[in-house]
Amino acid sequence: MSSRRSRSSRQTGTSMISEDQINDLVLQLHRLLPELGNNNRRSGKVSASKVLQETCTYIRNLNKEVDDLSERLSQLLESTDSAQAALIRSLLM
Amino acid sequence: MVLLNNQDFMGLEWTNDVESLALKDQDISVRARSDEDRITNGLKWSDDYFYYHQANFHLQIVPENRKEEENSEKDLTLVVPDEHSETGDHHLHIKDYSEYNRRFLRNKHAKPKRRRVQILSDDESEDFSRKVPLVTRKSSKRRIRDDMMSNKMRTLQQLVPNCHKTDKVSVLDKTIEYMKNLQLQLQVMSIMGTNPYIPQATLDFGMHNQLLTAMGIAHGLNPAKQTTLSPLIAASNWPSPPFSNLSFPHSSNQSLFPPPASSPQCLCGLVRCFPTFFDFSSNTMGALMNSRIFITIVLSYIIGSIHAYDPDALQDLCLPGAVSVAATLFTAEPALSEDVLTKTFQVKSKMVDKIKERLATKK
Repeated sequence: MSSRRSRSSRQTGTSMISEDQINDLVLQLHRLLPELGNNNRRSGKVSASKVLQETCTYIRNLNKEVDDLSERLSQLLESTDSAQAALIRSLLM
Repeated sequence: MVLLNNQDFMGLEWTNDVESLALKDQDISVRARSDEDRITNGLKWSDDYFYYHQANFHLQIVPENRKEEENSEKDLTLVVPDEHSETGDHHLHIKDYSEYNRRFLRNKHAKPKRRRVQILSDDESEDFSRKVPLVTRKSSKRRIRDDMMSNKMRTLQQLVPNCHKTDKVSVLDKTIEYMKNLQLQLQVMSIMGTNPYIPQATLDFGMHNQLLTAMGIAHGLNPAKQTTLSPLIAASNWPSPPFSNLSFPHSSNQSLFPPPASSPQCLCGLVRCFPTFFDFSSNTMGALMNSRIFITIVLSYIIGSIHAYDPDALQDLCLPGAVSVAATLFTAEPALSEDVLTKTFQVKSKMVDKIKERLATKK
């Protein structure tokens, strides 16, 4: 993915190399998140803990939405006897 | 009494945090007890401080600095004289680490002389249950930051299924993949929920398995989730269902056809999130799969709008390619053979003629 540059610092070693990786990953994660207030403030700095926090909440929201949609789809399956239900059934089974 | 104030204010949560922090800081407090240690460790910590100071400029990711001003009762003096026992001045709201950091930064500018280590006294170090022993600003700052990071990493690990390695990089990798899959899954499911006209024909053109695979992967990533649909899905093997000739009852299902406004939004939402899916670097099949799914869904929308006798719906779609696909297919010259169109869109030949008329007049 990203090039691993090693920095010359007092604390060299594997920890610094993966620090870059982690930065990149966090930035990538930040891009994936739905940004609600970021269009104005697009600084180069991203707070890692904030990104992680928002990731947790976002994943929870997504899971909840998946559950809701599954609920809805299953209701659709049960309620309608039309071709629609047959379609959905054939897609899933 | 100030101690009590803080405790009341923060409640149990703070105590827990303090304890977890205290356990880790215990070694520092133990070290700090002897004068020799203080000097040695003081130097060590100041090295860390300088290093960390440098690192601030290199890293793009900085500790969170929330600008909260409402906690005004924390007038902290960060410097603790050695023999000073507990006073209200030294209490910290550990719950609010950013505040802690912010104050440290502020104080750094205010009192440059006092960068050096300040050590907790013996009295303070014994009392971990009630307050945090003060240690070097920078190392404790980093420690707090690391604690927060690891807490969040642990949370993420629990949220993301099949995440067995505990190192940060792989947790983050898996989180990214999982989020992308979740987004894809949601889009597919919302399309399915709103658009009943996902015809077998398009699925039969080799896209079928990919769509199912996508859903399978999406569901396979949630082995623990007990959705009502999961018993219907075999996670690993996908028997291809027999291609059954469904005739679409056009008239009766028109009421079921959703207003076209919702579907373009779904699809535009899809379009927006698909660029991110294309850097699915860990899984080239994933990219292929996503593009096929995309095409499937676009086609299904087109077909849906055709069934509703509403080619105008195509205009609403913000994807210019989609409009021309239908138009091109139906009005091609020399015309495509009727049974190709019939089979593709699962429409009867009369419909094909009607659509041709409509599209021709639009031109």
